[in-house]
Amino acid sequence: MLFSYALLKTFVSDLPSPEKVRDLLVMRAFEVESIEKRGKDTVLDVKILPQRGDCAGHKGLARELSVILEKPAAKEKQRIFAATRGGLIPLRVQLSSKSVLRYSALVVRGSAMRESPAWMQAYLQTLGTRAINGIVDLTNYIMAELGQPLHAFDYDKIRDSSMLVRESKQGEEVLLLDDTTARLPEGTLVIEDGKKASVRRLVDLAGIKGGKLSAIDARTKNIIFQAAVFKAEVIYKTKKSLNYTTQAADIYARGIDPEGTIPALERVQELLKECGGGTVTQRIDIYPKKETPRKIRVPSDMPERYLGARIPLQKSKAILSRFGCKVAGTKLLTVQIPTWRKDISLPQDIVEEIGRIHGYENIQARMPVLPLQCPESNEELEKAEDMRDALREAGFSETIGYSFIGKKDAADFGYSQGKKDALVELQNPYSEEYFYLRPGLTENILKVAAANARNTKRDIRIFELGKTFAKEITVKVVESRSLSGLVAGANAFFLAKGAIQHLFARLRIAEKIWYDVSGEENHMFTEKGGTARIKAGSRNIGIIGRVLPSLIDSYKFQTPVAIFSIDAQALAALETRGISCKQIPRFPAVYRDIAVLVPLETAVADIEKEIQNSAGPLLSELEIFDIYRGKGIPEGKKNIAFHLAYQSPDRTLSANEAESLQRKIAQSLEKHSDWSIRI
Amino acid sequence: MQRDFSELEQEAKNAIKTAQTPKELEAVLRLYTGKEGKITREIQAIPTLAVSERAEAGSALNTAKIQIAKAYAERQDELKQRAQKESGAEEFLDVTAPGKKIEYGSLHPLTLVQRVCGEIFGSMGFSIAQGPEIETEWYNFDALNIPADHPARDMWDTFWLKSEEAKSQRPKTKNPRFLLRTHTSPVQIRYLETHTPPVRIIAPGRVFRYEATDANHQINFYQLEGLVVDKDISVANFSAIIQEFFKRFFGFPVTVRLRPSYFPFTEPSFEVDMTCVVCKGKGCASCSHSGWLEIMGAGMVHPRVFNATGVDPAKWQGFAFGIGLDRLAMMKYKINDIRLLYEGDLRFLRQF
Repeated sequence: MLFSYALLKTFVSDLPSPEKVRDLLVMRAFEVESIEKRGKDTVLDVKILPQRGDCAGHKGLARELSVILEKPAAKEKQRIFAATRGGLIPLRVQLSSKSVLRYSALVVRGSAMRESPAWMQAYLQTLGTRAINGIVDLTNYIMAELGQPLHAFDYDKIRDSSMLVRESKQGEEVLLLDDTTARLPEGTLVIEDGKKASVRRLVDLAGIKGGKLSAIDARTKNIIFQAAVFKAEVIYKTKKSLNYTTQAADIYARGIDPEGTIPALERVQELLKECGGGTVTQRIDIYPKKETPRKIRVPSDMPERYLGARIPLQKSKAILSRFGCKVAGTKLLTVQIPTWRKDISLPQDIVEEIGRIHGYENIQARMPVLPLQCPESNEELEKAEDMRDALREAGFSETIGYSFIGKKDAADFGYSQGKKDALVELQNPYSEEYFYLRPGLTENILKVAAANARNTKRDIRIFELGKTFAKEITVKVVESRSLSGLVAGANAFFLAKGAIQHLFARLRIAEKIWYDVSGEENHMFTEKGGTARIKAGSRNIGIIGRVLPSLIDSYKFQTPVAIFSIDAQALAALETRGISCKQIPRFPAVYRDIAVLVPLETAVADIEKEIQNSAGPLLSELEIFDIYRGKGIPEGKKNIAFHLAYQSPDRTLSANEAESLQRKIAQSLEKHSDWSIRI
Repeated sequence: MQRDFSELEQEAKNAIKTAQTPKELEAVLRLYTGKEGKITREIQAIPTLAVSERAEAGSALNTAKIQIAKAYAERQDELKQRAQKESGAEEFLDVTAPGKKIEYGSLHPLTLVQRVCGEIFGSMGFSIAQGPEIETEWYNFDALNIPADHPARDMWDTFWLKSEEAKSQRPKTKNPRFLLRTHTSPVQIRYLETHTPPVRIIAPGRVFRYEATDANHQINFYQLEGLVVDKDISVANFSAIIQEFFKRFFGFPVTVRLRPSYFPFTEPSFEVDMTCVVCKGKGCASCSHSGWLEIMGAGMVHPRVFNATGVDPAKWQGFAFGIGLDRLAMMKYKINDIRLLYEGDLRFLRQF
């Protein structure tokens, strides 16, 4: 909100320099966005806080500055408010809504349309308001000066000299000053003229913008000056639902003092001569419920307890009375709040006023004295950190992406057929690019990897751990924690698999995990033949696979790409955090190798299973050390070589025992007609 | 009879020279100079000799023993070198050649910053709490004293979920519209609903704002909420705790400065400035030559927030604050554009 330094100065004697004013405001009241010289004047852009409707005009901000500068509260100047009846049919104003807190107006007869005085135009110019004519400028100037919005109607355009302030019905329309038509929701405040139903029209969008039908123009002679106060919530609601606002609406929406209407109209009367003149023939003041000053009880030690600083009671009382409060009592203070301070309603509000004027920088930092207390542990968080650490150890870089996917992504990734229902939509999406809440992490991870692939020849290894969103069958939105990773590089799949094996080992759950390839369903991102479901017991906890060639093409990857995606909550539930040590074997192991020649499509997991089953409990280690095909191996075959270790917990195994186990394994492997043992 | 030990010495030397392994070599040495070795036995037999022969025999045997030990040491070196050669170790070790490359990954700067915050606040007794990213209007606004149709709502540009998603899901919820949380403050409500004061928590997490993006703004970003509720917690305590946090986080003595502000859920409310991290308070372009950087919002918990959570504001008081973690990360690691944090460029991420 813009303020003229020169205009502020008319309210505060000995106002310090604009820079000093800025510094005082910043430390005691409001942020100042900018300070700029305009002609002889200086304009300050002050961020009036939303609850401070009382500072929406120069008078209000000057009052605040007086408090800060330790000047006594200015006395209200009493003006004469007189009307000379006659010449016009008296205007009849009726209110049918409780949202009109006060409706005051002046009717002026015989005004001549002309320009406003130069001094007024100069102020308006400083404040960035265009000068229009004497009457409009007068209302704008007084609003800037006092913070009370004013509106001028052409008296002769009001049918039957009759106005009704009421709430709108759904769908009613009003033609505004700027020739636009506003279609209204229910409950907006409007002004209707005319007595008979047949002639009634909406002539004003109350508190927001004047109506075209009642607008003053070059021929206007008789004027109604309205100074009303409407309920802040109603004005706020209207400007939100119409998505339209004016300076007046912004001021009303903060909430202003109903006691301010009469001073504003008095000011109209005072300045009228210079702006077109005329005679005040009627004064209207409908004030259904007079605003009475609020009283708040504050224990006198409360500021000290809240602020943690000693402020003498005398000083607190002085600050409050400069604000216009009346303070009584010593142990329990009774503070009467001036009507313009609608924001002060609790003892804590009083503490704030004392604290900020005393100066927060004068409060010495001091550590609290609290019992020594260990923080609670947060397992969910700690386990997430374990996962991150494990993948970092595996050479992966963590990425953090947007929580949204685009409209195009949804189509690209095959959400179009029926699956779109599972996507969570926003009422107000940011853009086509950030349209749905992300259903998984893979979509964004693929995009990120593709962008990186353009910059590097090295393998790409990335992962993300974050929240994903899905809609269950009906309407329920489910938020869950997912972990996804991607490898792009020559050996992508096995690097990815190695990484998750490392992850499972670090979480101490490796032996609970197996890879299910029996599924026949189509996967969204991965090849049908190159995908495994990651399982813990019978539970599906994720998926790993080679990315579909179509996606590799559309993202222009030059290498194979593999992804994994794991339910991080399920993973956390499986994680074993305690370590319980096993005895180190007391007797040495006997090491042997075995190699088996099998058809290409044989799963090594099946060979491993066969070896384990036939060897029995003495087999303590089984590790594949080579998978070979090519020279020396028949077409359509591969050679799988294993390291084996035999070990007993209670004796040293003899070479003979090991040999006999080797023979047993060989026999059982060769039961498969197309498997053969190689020595 | 004068005995000649040179033959025995030669025999031992030959055996040493022909030993092929360290093990064999050890055995040879034992055979001659071990406890029961041939030379040892001769030495033990010296007392049985005629007195006149003893001195000469002693000296000859001693020489033999020394010679054998020498031959042993030489052979030992030879075998070691041979073993080294066989194992492929080159004689020339090029110490300037690169070591074997270790493949390491990296954690996101926002993760690192959250960890540091967790540690610092943890050391001051703060627990870590979390809440959902999809919130109800009640937790995100109403319970925090931000009623509908109040201009304060304009302080948060909100993403709303589509209305059919907004059916009542949590029976407790008084206001069933769903949104993406605009701040981490709802965690205050959730925590106070389920815990009895005293309370000392931080709540880091992702938040959302419907606003134009640029080098300093994103539609999703991270915040860290703080909440302390006790019998006797003051603004002075807040300053001390947050000053200590910044001091440890940035590693130099930071001071904070509070200015008046407005948040519906705190009273009094502050804007918090800290010593500029670039110029350490001297004044520079980063802080518009003021020496201060605006870093966060804070305040004393509003009694209506206590009322909404069933905590008696007559008995308890405390402070709450919210810091932007992206901003902290950017300041700590000298990141000049917030978008780097969300774009996943490995040339950026691999630096962490």
